[in-house]
Amino acid sequence: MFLQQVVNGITTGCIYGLVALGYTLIFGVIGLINFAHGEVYMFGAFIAFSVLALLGGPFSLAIVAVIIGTALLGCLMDGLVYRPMRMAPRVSQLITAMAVSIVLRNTAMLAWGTRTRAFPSIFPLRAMEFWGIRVTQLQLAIPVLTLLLMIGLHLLIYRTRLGKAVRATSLDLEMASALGIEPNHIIATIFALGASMGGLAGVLVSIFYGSLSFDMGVAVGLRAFVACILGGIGSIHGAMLGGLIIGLAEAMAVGYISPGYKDAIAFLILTLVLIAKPSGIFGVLVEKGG
Amino acid sequence: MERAGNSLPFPRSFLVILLLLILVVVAAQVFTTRYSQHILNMFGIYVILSLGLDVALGWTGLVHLAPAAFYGMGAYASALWVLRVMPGVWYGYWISLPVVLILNAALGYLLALPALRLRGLYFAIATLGFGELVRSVLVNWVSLTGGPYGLKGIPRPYVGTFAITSTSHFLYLIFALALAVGVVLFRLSRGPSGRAWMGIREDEIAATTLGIDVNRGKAEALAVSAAISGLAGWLFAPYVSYLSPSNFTLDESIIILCMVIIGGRGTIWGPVVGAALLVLAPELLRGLAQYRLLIYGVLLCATMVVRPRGLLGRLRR
Repeated sequence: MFLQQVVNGITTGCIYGLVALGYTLIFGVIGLINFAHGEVYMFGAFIAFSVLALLGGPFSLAIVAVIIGTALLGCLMDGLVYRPMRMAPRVSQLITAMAVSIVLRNTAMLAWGTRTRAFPSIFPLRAMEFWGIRVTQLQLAIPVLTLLLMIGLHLLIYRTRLGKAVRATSLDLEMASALGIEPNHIIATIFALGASMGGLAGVLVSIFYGSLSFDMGVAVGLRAFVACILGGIGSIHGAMLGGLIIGLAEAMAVGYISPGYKDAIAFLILTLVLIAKPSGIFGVLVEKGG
Repeated sequence: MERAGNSLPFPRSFLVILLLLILVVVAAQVFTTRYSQHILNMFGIYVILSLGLDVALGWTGLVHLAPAAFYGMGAYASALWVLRVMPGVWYGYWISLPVVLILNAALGYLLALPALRLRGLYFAIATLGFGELVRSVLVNWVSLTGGPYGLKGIPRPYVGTFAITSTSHFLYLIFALALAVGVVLFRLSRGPSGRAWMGIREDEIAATTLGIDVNRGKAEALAVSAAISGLAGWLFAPYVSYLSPSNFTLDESIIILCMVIIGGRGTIWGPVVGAALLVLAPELLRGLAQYRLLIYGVLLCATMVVRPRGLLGRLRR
């Protein structure tokens, strides 16, 4: 029972972590909580669904379409809505992000309908048993894929020129632009990067649960957001750790307390951690949001 | 020669109140259908809610994301009081008012405990968590709240033997209280507490040097904000006579937040205008059925991009 919940918790925790990366990247650079990020995750799932089920394309094409599609969506959001609001008060930016989330969710609802769709089963999901714990192949694949994406992101941010520019922009946007870094390009890149990570997470979840719906982004978006605050917003490793903690805690709550309190448990942990350490576990960036 | 408004024998604010009262009576005569009166009533309730949120958000600068939790607690407390504590007594409902106000103010003060440690964004998240916690309790504590099925058959309020039943009766009750809240808040904003809270919003350190207890100010502002949200719930419960946890979700908080931000936070009229727009807009767009929410979102985006401080936000300066 305990180990089974650990396995389930790690699976969902990885997903939360992947989505949380998008929040943390964007917040780290421009201090915006992109509330619409959960919807990008949902769009990722639906793009894959469209390519696979509606167009009958191969899986590889679906993945490419998801990465490009969600990256474009991220850039579009930034260019159309967030860029004109760069200097606006933080609360106004937050409201705008919520509005963007409403727009995206309803667009998806009009495009793909309100009912829950079945995701085409491309991989035979066979479950294996280890000491009485049921593990599907996908539950093994998700942590591995997440780890690979994390390593890739880490290398990109800490080992490349682009990553250096991103870090410089996040430290001091004006100074970076004085040194010849075009901040709007960096911000667009960050949006594209965060969005495609979120999109991929959406695909993984749809394969895992075998279904998808237009409102799937709301709950996950909120959890991932909590995860990145928990880990310390602005920190890449913190986001991942926060995701795992939330995932595990939820799995334990479902297993030992009651599935009904699943939604509250993430926030309860968060509040407790914040009271003990107000800037999150890996908190480095302290006062960017006001 | 021009004289200051409050030294005139007939204060300007009194005229405004009189004018608003007349407006309410006229509105009740002009809008006679049940549907239009219902829209007006919801507008009144949202005016109270957005004014309440503005005390925390606009005056004190606390990004408080759980107004719907206090709204829900007020509604459930009022309903449970009438159904369980004082069933079948006409004055039960009226006694529940101070109960609701005190309960909510106390819980608002309690929520302020993390506020004393957390700032800005982190405080916002803690309130988000509080909202989720309240919703979870409403859904899961089935024996008390009826769980996801909610509370049914909340009786209409009575004054002696006179029953407040029709939508137009509620219209007077709701708007009388909305007006009262407006007046109280207006007075408060000119008084020492209100000014202290605004000082906290502008600059905490400067406020401290002027002798303002920042933590106490924040806690008081949250308590007042929570009590006003509870008042809205107290009105809502007998008006709809059926409560369910789905009335008090994060979406509801976001709608209230949008009213305050779009109207212009930190003003008395801003939240009122915001409430009017966001109650009316979905009704006007009803003909467009499925595109309604989409247009609503786009309008919201556009308003924010064009006027980031809210519609009335800049007029004040």
